[in-house]
Amino acid sequence: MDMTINPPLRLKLRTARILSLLVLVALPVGYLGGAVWPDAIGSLDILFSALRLIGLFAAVFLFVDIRNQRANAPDTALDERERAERDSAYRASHTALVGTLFMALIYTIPAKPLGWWFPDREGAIDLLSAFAIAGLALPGIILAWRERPDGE
Amino acid sequence: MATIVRVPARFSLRTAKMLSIVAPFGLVLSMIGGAYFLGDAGRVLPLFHALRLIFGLTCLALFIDGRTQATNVPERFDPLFDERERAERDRAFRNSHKLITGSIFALCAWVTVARGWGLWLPDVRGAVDIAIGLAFIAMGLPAIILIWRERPVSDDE
Repeated sequence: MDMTINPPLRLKLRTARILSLLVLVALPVGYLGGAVWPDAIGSLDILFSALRLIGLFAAVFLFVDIRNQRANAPDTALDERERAERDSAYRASHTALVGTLFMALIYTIPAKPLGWWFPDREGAIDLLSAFAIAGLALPGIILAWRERPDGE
Repeated sequence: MATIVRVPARFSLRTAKMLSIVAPFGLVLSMIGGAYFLGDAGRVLPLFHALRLIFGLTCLALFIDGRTQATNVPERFDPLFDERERAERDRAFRNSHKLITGSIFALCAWVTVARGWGLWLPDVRGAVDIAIGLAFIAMGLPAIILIWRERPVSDDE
């Protein structure tokens, strides 16, 4: 049985791209900043909290947008070209996730002996959560950046 | 995948399937075991170092297989593959991505539950070790999925 996608939100391409930048910048900076300076107080703490909130809200908007709904749609809801584009976005997303994970892990090798910054448990969990949220949104983000702005 | 990519090794399907089970499970279990059963002064026991090395090498064997190599070539080599092969490969990446993000969320859920109920949690060094194991597996996961989707073509498979 063929299915159609009925997304709760259909963002303009430009809006989706701006939100995707917010997810990719605000979320890591907010969580990384909070992990590096866990005792930050005052304006710095407010800044990191605000960045986290902005990143999370942007991610929520992207999750319900048509592009992310398409990325998570069953095969029957998409034609062959759309399936190929979606799966290709997942491939790029997987490569980016694994690459980022390896870079982070490579950093941990000299970090301890050289006395560089190393996250505590709370910080590591926060960073992992941010990584997972960004990872969920990434296929939709890639689809937004590969989409041609013809329809707008 | 039927396309011939110049690769260091190409195992039989049965061997590849066996490696695809032994390598990831062995690596993750030895990483978790090493983080759980710590020796004196919080150091990893030599047994777990040996197990990690063995299963790490098993993973390496899986990575040099042709199926893994085919999933790791850059996009400019896409013309080497026909449309069906590209579709199979990208679908494997899609499932792999979902498994990875799902696993990370499961880990976050475990940490939340473990902190509330006082269950075991690794120290930061142990968590990094486990994450390294998961990253290795994530790298080879699309190939593992392809191995299990491949149909045996010859009688000896």
